[in-house]
Amino acid sequence: MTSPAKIERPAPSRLTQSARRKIVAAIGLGLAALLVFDYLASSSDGVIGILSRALVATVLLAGIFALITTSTWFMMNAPDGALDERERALRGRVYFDAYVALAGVVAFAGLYFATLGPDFGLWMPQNQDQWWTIAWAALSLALLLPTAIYAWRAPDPLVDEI
Amino acid sequence: MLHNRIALLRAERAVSRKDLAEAVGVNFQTIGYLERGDYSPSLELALKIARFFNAPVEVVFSLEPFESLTAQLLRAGETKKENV
Repeated sequence: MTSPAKIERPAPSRLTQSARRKIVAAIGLGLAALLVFDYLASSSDGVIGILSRALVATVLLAGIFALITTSTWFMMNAPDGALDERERALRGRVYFDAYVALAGVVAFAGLYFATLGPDFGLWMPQNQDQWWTIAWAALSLALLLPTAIYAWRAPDPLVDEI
Repeated sequence: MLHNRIALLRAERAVSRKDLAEAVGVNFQTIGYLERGDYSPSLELALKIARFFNAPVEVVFSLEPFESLTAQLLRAGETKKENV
C-alpha cells in the first residue's frame, strides 16, 4: 500500500449519491435525445431541430459541468499516487466496467450498421450530419463513461468526526 | 466481511477520522467506509491501524462480529462476582 501523495485534493463531493445518479441519468437521456432529435430533424423544419438540439446540449453541458466540478472528476483523473488503496481499487473496477460496457456498445453498433440496419430495413443515418452526431455521441460516451460509472457508484460522502 | 472496532477505539481515544487517516496514510473518507463496513482493508492497512492504536490486529479486526460493549461489561461483572 502506498500512502497518497501530498497533492491538493478537492473537498469530498458535495453531491449525494442520489444527486449524482440523477445527473448521470440526465446526461444519458440527453445523449439519447440528441440522437432521436437528429433523426426527427431530417423530417422536421430547421428551427425545431436547432432549438431541440440547443436544449439538449444545455442539459448535457450542465450535467457534465456538475460532474467535473466535484471530486468525481479528480478521482477519475488524479495520478495513482494521489489516491489511497480503496480509491485505486474503486477506480480500477470502474475503468474495467467502462471498458466492458464500451466494448459492448461498439460491438452492437458495428453489428447494427453492418447487418441489422440494412438487412432488416431499420433506421440508418441518412446524411453526413447524422453520422457526425453518432460519432460525437460515441466520443462523448467513451470520455464520460468512466466518470459516469464512478459518479453512479461512489457512496455518499462522509464527514470527519470523533 | 471483516468486522472492526475502529470507531470504538477512535472514540475512546478522541481521535478524529482525519487524524487516524493521516497517521496511516489514507483519505479520511476511507476510514469512514472502513468503520461502516463498506470496505475491507489490505493487510498492510489493517496492521498500520492496529499499530496506531497500539493493539494486536485481532483486537481491532475480526472475521466474526464483535460482542457488544454492554455484553462484555455484563460478562466481566459476572466473572468478577464468581471470583469473589
